[in-house]
Amino acid sequence: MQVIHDGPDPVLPESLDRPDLGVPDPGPVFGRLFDAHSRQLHRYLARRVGDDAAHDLVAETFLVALRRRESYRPELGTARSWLYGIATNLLRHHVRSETRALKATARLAYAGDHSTAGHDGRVAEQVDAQTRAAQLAGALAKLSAADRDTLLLVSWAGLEPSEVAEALGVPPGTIRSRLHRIRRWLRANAATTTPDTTEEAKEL
Amino acid sequence: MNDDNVRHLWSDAELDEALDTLHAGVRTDPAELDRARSTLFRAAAAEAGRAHPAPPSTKKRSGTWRWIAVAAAVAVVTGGVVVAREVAERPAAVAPAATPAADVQPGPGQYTHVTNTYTDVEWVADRSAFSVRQKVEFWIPADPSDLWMRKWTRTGDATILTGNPADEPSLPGADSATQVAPGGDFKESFPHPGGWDVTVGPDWYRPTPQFIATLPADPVDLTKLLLVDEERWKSGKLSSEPEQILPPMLSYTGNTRVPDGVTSTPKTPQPATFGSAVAAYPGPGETQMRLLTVLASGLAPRPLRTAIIELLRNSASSKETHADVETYAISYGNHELVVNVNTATSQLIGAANVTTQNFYGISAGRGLSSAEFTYEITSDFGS
Repeated sequence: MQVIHDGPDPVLPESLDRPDLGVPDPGPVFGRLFDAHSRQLHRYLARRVGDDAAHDLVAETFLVALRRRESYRPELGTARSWLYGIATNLLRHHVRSETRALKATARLAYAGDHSTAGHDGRVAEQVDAQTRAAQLAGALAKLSAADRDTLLLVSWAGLEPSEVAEALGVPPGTIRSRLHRIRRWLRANAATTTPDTTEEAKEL
Repeated sequence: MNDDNVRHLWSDAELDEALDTLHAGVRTDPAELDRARSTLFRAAAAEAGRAHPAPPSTKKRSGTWRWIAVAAAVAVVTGGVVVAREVAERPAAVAPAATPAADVQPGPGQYTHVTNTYTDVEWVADRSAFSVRQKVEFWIPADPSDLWMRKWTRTGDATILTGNPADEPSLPGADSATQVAPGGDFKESFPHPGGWDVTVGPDWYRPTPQFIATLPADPVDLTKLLLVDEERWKSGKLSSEPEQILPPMLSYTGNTRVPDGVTSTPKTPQPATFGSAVAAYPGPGETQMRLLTVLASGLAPRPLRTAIIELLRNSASSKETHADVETYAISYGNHELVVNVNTATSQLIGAANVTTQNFYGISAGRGLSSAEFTYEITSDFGS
């Protein structure tokens, strides 16, 4: 019976953190990797592209990992980073749908903000957490795919910046400075970002 | 000032709260995961019946000069403007380039117009790769604290590298974006990887005029400074994103990643960009990327450009000269960075990223990307 973890990815023993994937029978080691990471990976992917697409992406991520297991090099990163790197590659095919969904969420915030103010007479600053999250959706839609990956691998997948660096194949210093820049931009602009219906219409 | 005039800045806590809340209500279906796990086990069982996968080979640096179909840039000078044009093969006969009398600087009301025309790799349906032509332009004012402009254009022109030519209509079409910012401090997202974030710079990868003014024009002194900055970079005091100026496939931060579903996979992991090769195998390539970024910026005065070119020349694994055009090959990992400079003007005129091993169906020696740089002084802002 497989074990499914509800919390963040567990701390793994060294052998599973950086396993030898070049064994003649890869089934057992991939089974352990799946049990350790699939649920958290699904949660991350579902927040990006929705539940159903995320289930497909989880399956695809592990199948790609199995096919490319000879390319995994433990000295360059953990298996978790490697898996999230593969998933990030696969997410590239969903950028448009992700952006559309973020803009749709942002439009709800825009509409909700006005209706709340009119109904309760509260000023715009008194937005609740849901409205702020939806404002964030609009801002996330304006980030480049690379910036969105960087931010959300940390915030939603729970990866350390060094792991994000391993997943994306860039130096850790790049990730740290990129995170600083992205967060600074979001703090300054998320509250004032409005849904861009023109851009959305163009994409559709 | 009333409430409408107040621009609300989020705190870090507010941003984190919004990140925690957005799309938090996702559901994982255990039955779906079970199905995925079963599929994985069936595939693993099938794999177990095949040959043991070959262990990854160690890094191999190639000093071999490989050009084949890489576009080389040849310089001509028209009215004082260096113009690069592509040829299909290594230049065999190049007309001598004229030598400008002086290193022209913009006057009041004028701009340095830097154009970077580059190709990037786009994948379609996990099977076809196309070289797609794009362009980034900068208009840098004579007083760098004035308004800058940057413009990105995707022409829609594409050349197939591998796969099925019938996939070309699935590529993104023509597009463009234009932004302006005082002092070149662009804060908005940009299609060409960018973000001239002066809070973590300026430095080699964000070479503002003020930073460039601090760089020595003597090659020995410049080398010493690079060594000092290498230590500062290791300790996290310098940024490492040459994303403002260099094209994606030459920089660290290119969005192009090779799809994992492509059928012709290599036996060893191969970074998709020259920059990512440098990241995977840290070493002297870092230094060359820094020098190249400053050289490409259009901001460096001629003595500094001459010193940079000398350092690039000394680090090259091979060199070719034809008239005023010198071409250097810098090998790194599974890539070769090919740099073209005009020694008469001490300007960078082109660069290319060449794979030196078979690469996801792209044969060794093919150019994964190339870039051409032109510089001119103009009074027209944005045209």
